[in-house]
Amino acid sequence: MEESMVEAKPEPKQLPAAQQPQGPRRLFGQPLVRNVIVGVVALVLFYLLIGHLSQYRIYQLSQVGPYLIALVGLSVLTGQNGQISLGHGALMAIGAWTLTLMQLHTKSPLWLMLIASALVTMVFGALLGLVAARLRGPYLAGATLALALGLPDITTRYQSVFGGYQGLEVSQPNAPSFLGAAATPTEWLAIIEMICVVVVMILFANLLRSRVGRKFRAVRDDEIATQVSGISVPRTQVLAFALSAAAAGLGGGLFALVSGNVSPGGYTVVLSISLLAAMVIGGTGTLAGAVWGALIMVYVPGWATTLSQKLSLNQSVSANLALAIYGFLLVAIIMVAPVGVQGIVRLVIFKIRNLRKEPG
Amino acid sequence: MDSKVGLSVDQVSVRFGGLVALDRVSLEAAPGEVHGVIGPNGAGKTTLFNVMCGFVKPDSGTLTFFGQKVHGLRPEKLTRMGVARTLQGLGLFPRMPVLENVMIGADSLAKVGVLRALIGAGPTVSEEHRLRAAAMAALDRLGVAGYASKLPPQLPYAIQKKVALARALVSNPRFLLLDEPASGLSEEDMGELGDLILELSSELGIVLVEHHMDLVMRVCSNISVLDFGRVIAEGTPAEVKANPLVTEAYLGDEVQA
Ligand SMILES: Nc1ncnc2c1ncn2[C@@H]1O[C@H](COP(=O)(O)OP(=O)(O)OP(=O)(O)O)[C@@H](O)[C@H]1O
Ligand SMILES: [Mg+2]
Repeated sequence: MEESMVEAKPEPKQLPAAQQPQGPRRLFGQPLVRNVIVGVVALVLFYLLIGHLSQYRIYQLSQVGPYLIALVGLSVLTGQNGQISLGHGALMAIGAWTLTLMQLHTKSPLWLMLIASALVTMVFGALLGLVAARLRGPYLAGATLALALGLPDITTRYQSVFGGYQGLEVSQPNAPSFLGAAATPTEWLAIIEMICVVVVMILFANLLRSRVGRKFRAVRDDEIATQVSGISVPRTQVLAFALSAAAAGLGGGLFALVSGNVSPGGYTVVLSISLLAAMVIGGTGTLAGAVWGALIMVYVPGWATTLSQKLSLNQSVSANLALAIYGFLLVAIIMVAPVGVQGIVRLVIFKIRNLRKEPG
Repeated sequence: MDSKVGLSVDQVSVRFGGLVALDRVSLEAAPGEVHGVIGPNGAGKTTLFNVMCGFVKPDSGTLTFFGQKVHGLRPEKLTRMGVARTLQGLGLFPRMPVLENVMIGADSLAKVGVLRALIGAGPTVSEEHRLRAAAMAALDRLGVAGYASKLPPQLPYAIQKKVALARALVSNPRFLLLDEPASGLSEEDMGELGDLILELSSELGIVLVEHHMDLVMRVCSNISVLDFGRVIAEGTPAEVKANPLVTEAYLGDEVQA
């Protein structure tokens, strides 16, 4: 230790050059390159998978995408930046109505409508973030809850624009001509979603391993130490809220496409709370956790219905079975695995690796 | 002293409700010097640091950093001005590895924005390499590079203190504000810290808040003594030691000399 101290000299106020790997390792060392390869492989596998599924199964699977993307946003906000939001259902609604109104009143291509869903919601998210940056804990939860409660009311108040209780219809996009008859609208939508999922996952994976993600975590862990390190806490919080909202908005836009309509009943506070529960069950703050959470949001209610039919439960019980399962999972996860399903998965992988190492 | 290169606090007062935490406090810190700030618990030492880094707005008085009057100082601007600070206690990020903790300290040297971070290619990667290298160098300098991948709560207190110091040093500051860096350290660690402070003082200016008198007397070239928010004595260690006001202020308080 003493030696290294003597050698050290004051450095100029910029970063010294660092050695970087060269050649092919350099290329694969780029997170973008690695992530894109993984993403493309996932897309191809997904394409092959839907070839073997019935239209109904594909439809069911395509409900996962919107939730997944919204959960990525929520999970990054909460798990990485330490801000809670009970308003992500409402943010999804903003994305959903953005896409629907564009479809109704303009001739925009699909990609533009999806990007607009994300960007418009991002603006709302940034505004919410400005409020959020002044609030902590329960006050923040309260403010975002107000959004979740208030937004559906706005859509019913301005019926002529938003369609009132009935909502508005959304038409599903047709597959482009180059795919010809090879893809039904249902299949095409599933493919679009998978592309969106891959893009969002890559963007957020990049973000989390960058200095921006690190700043998110620093704010989560200690706001005073973050400030002393030269980082603005409110700016970081607004940024996290904006990016998180963009994901929720894109998820909302896709949700409108999958549902075929938007109505206030689909975006109540129950959606916000379900998202929060799914986030915790899946694994807060991890991207993989968002995948588990979204799968649970889509498949648990289905299984619950099947189960209650098998057990021939009466109406009032069966209607709430999915919620009961949610609640049970939530409590169980919080008690045994604070990092959710993804935490369990990691533990299992870790154990298997250790098992393999031991004999050798 | 050439005021263009130092930090100076002039007639600064801070009130919290009825409590006068700082009462017309003045202090000059020069590069190449270690300026000690001592005083009993609650004397206003941390408050003085909080004023010097913008956490607390003084009710009156001025700050002059490097010859320029500073108005509306905000803590996140501090590192960019070349002033780094450690916090009383630790202030480490408990759920981030040691390396990331220190990389946060170097963040003001980085430039890559959000869009590039989302794309994740090119300059993002090379800058990340450089931040990492700078953080490793700072950890290495303090002899704790071996703990880079550990989480702070897993480490002994003395190691955590060094990590906190590395986080402050990694931004290459011209001035370092240390708030009780020796608290919780063993005699041996404290000796090592004294060596380090003396060595650092040839490169940068240091303002040191400390309760451990032997450390203060050893490393400081100048000392200001605070009591109830007022500077009651000022001078070289020998002068301060001989000042009867100082002994009086510490009466009833544990004197660790
Ligand atoms: N934000 C605040 N609001 C109200 N009172 C405060 C605040 N910060 C400090 N004080 C009070 O101001 C006085 C000076 O506190 P300060 O923390 O500066 O003392 P200190 O010299 O650093 O003490 P210690 O040696 O215990 O760290 C104390 O009486 C403290 O209670
Ligand atoms: Mg203090």
